[in-house]
Amino acid sequence: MSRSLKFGRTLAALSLVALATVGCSNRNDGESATTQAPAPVDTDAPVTSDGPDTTDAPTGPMFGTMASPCGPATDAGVPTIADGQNGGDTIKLGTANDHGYEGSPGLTIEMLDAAKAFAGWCNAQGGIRGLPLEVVDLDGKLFAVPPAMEQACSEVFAMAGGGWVFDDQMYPRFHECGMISFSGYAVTAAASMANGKIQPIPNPANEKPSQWLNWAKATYPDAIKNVAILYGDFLTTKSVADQLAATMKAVGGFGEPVYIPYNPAGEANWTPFVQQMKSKGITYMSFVGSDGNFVQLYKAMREVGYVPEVVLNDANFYTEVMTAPGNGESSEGFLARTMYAPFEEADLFPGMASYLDMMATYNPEGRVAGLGLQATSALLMFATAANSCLDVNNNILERECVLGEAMKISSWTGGGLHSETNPAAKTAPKCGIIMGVKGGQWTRIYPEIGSADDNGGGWHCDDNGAVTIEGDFGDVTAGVDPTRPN
Amino acid sequence: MQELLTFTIIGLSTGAIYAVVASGLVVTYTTSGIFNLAHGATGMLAAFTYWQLRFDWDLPAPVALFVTLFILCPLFGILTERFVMRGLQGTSEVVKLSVTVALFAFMIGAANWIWPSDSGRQAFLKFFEGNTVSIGGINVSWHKLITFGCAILVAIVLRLLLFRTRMGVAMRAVVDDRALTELNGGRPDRVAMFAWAISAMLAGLAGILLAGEQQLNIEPLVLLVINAYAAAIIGRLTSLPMTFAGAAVLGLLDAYYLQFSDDSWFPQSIMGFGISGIRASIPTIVLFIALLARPQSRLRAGVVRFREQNKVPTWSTSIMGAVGLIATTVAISGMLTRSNTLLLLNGFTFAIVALSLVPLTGYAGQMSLAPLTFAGLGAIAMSKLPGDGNLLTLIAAVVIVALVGALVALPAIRLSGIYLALSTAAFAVLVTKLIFNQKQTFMSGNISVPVLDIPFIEINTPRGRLILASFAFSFLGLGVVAVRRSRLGRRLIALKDSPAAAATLGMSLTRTKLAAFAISAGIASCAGALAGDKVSPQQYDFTQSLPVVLLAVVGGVGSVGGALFGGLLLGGNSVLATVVPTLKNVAKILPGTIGVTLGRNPSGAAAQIGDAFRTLLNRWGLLAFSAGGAFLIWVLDAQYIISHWAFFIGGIFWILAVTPNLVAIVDGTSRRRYLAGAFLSIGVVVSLSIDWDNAVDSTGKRLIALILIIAFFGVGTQRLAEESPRLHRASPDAVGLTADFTDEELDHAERELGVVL
Repeated sequence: MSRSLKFGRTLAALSLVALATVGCSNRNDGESATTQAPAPVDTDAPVTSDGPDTTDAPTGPMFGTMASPCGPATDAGVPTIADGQNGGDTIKLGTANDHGYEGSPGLTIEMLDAAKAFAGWCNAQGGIRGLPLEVVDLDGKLFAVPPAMEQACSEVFAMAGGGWVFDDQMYPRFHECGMISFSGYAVTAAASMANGKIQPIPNPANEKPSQWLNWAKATYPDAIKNVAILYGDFLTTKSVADQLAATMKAVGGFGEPVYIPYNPAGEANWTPFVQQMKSKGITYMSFVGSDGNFVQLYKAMREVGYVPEVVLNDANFYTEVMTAPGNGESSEGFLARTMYAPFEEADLFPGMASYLDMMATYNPEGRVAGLGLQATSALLMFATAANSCLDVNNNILERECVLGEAMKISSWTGGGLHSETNPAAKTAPKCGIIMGVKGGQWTRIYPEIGSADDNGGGWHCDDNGAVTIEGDFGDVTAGVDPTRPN
Repeated sequence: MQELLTFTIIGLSTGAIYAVVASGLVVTYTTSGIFNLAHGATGMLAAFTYWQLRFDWDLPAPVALFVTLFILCPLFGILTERFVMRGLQGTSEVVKLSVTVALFAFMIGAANWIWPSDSGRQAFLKFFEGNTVSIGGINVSWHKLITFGCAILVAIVLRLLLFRTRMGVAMRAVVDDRALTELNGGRPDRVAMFAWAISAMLAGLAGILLAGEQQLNIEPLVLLVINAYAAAIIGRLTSLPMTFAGAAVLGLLDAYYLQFSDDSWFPQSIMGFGISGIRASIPTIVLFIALLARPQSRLRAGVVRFREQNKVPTWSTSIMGAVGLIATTVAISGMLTRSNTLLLLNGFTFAIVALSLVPLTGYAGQMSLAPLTFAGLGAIAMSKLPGDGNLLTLIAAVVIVALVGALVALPAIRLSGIYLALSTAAFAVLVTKLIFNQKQTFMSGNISVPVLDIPFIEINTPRGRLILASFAFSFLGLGVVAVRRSRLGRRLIALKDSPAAAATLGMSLTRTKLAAFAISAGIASCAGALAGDKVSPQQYDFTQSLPVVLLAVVGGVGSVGGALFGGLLLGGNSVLATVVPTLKNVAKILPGTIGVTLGRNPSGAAAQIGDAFRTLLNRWGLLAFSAGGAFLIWVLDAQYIISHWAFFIGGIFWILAVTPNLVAIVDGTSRRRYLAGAFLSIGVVVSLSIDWDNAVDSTGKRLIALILIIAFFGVGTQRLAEESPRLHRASPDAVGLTADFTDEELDHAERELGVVL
């Protein structure tokens, strides 16, 4: 316990917050990385629309389905970095994370791990036109975001691939020092709606992905009449539960949910929760919190002999914990949505294969997980936008120019790491996959590959795959500086 | 009806877990007089160990259980008693409780270090996972039946042990009257060792049973145990049957709450405040009620002398210290990066919270485990009150929180010692669950506390806020000194030294206690009200208060300097982990490690450091020399003759190594003092002349070099300048005492007596 005793923390619960808002699956599956992943250089892969294609060598190295944005200097020579933007011989990129928080050691370190691997992968090809990348660890330690933000202001050219759980604490300093961010994820409404930043997988405060709920509505029209939402009783997780309920309402057809709060610091006995759901005849359940608690609830449901007909959670439950030895059996039938390429299908998704291979080659000790994948997508986007900027800005790298170029990207999959998004419009993704636990393993449930519901690349997309929700989910203006161009 | 039966069975199965935990607490308390806050952490470590043996190394369950429960746990208990707890005799409840907090911190750090989180690891399975039997229409797992069985078995075995065996009788005798037991030939140390071994076994058993329901998660394993404290208190920390009844009540209340909370007659909110936090607070509420139902604690007559001692601060030292602190902060803050400035600011915030414990704990001897709760209330008041952070808003916030502090103390006032500490813990948990966890207070997760608005002064920069914090600490610190030197201060001390005597002389204990709580709450509220930034409720969580209390005691809760030292240490520890990544794991267990040594120096670190400087008192020439030297080093830096790093390292060296040695060198009589002076001079030159920025490539290594230089030259000089080695012989007066005096105690006694050997 150090300093703050961190213990406590309660904190564990906080990790939930991070997880609840974004997907965060955690898997160090070295085996799949080495046995399944094709080499990152995969010239056969089709090039899809991944933003402005700024590389002039379509047959060069690839990341998944996109041409690598990294390479040696062009004829114009090694680029320079604009004055006063922490330039030098390297492009310093700050990756925000909270791994130093002692109540939950290693919190979101997968993003930093991915950034380090990405820098290794990119620098091996020459960096960004000959300028190598250098990753700076911006450790917010949960409660120390302001000092980490100051560190960013004084050390880095841009923030890329990271995020803090309490990310609204970075404002207004973020704008004062003219920082830009290619965020791996955003938690608070202030950060998700802020300017001066772009996110490869946007999560606007008032618009939520709904493809998974549309699927539940179509597949289990009766079960969704009796809904329970279990959530950790924290303001932040409560807010996530409220957003889920609002999304269900916007999708329509769902019964009024029964809210069941649990103690995020842990429960000594999960049976009463199961009994409560059983006596209310719940047929559809969603859980907002941490996968560790959820696994225990599932085991209690098995003991009582009552499992709701549908148990479908958000993407942060698509994790190894659910299928870890000793857990997989009781989790049978559990469903989670994902907007990532499934880790189990690296042979079908070159982007996933490239990510696993990059981690195995350049940071084999690093943690492989969903947020790492979001970080990689953000870094790819930075590198892509940096190239575009150098083209139009006399080979000088400049913050607003890089962000401005990124803002032109209206279709993005991170080389096939995740479903298609529109970062420029900052809209929620409309495509997804439903994964389920079968025989102790994560297995694709929907859409079946090649079926009519497969809208290409194994994804199912709905026109109404994202819905606007109503309610107050935080201050959406706190991170906006109206004087900035982007 | 069927449903009621179902929930009754469920409730009893929860209660069984609490029963096992609580009985361990009771055994420790009845046999050693120490309420072990680290009980849950012990169970957590045992659960991890069992997991390692059983699931990672695949040993058969009986073998893994035997090794964990009958070999490792008792060993751990014995070592804890021998090397940590035995040294605590004669210290106050505050120190005792703090040491268990330190132990708690140490074990959590160790678990983090040994078993870094790994989501894909093999699950911790229940005993016979998947097997259930149907009882009263509900399936009950074998694991829960085993838990039940263990609870009953533990009850029977403990009963037999305590009442039917010689060792059991000895254990009870030691608690009743240690001295009397000793006179009758009992061996209290051995008995205590045995008790700690049993207690660790019970903790381990509870941890393993709980982990089956919980998985390997440090936090819940440690914190769920806190619920069991309520059961232990219902048993008044002595009665095992009552403890078991209490555990059953807790489990049943929890289950019934879940059953009825959705019924239409059940209120969902009170005055707009959601009450979903009530369920998690049930144990705390029960704890509070059980505490209040306790008979008024009896005043103990007789001499109660504690080993920790603090001198009355003089005005001249205090004012010099305050001015010096502000001046140093102003000078140093100009050289820090904005990022480091904010980290240091964090340390000052903790220092102010620690300061709030000085009048309450240090002077009045009343323990509070909720200092950060008051800081959180201060933050809320500052942000919600009109005025946008002007001085009047601050004053209003402080007054309001001080009143709340007095109000809280009112029901708790009949309690003392450990019971009082637990009631403040209960208050902290209730506020966290029912007030902080509300939209009305912390919105959707955090609020902005305005920066203090003082006319004509711009504070809203990291440096401005740091200087404000140092000013606030100095101001409040002088206030605390003023209290100490006043009538009220003497009453507070009387309350600590001998409540019985104070009451006999007509002093109102209640009013004095209320004053202490109000002052403490007011000071703590400043830490929140001056946050000047966005704050979240988790920062003020009960569990965050524990390290603050610990570090305040480590620094020395009896003095303002101790609070500053403890606060900065708490803030600085995270800096250490940042700048020296290789020391990260050491940093995890550092505060805990320092804390468990409290038995040796219960007055705290600041008092020890203070002793080193005390020789300089009234030596104006030497003081001027010291201050002049520090100023000169600053001038060298300001003129760019030396680098910032040389200034930093040279300056610290000057203060910590040179200044305390001045008296010995100047006053010495032997020739060796010249040698000592020369040796020290070399140290000064070395620390100032090395090109730190280039010769050493990381901040961490520079700090390590600094520590080594101070140790080598500072301690070396001390040894050289020493007149002659002192000889400690056992005094004839000490014949018959079980323990020899330590060097510190002899030193102290010699100084008090004016004898120099």
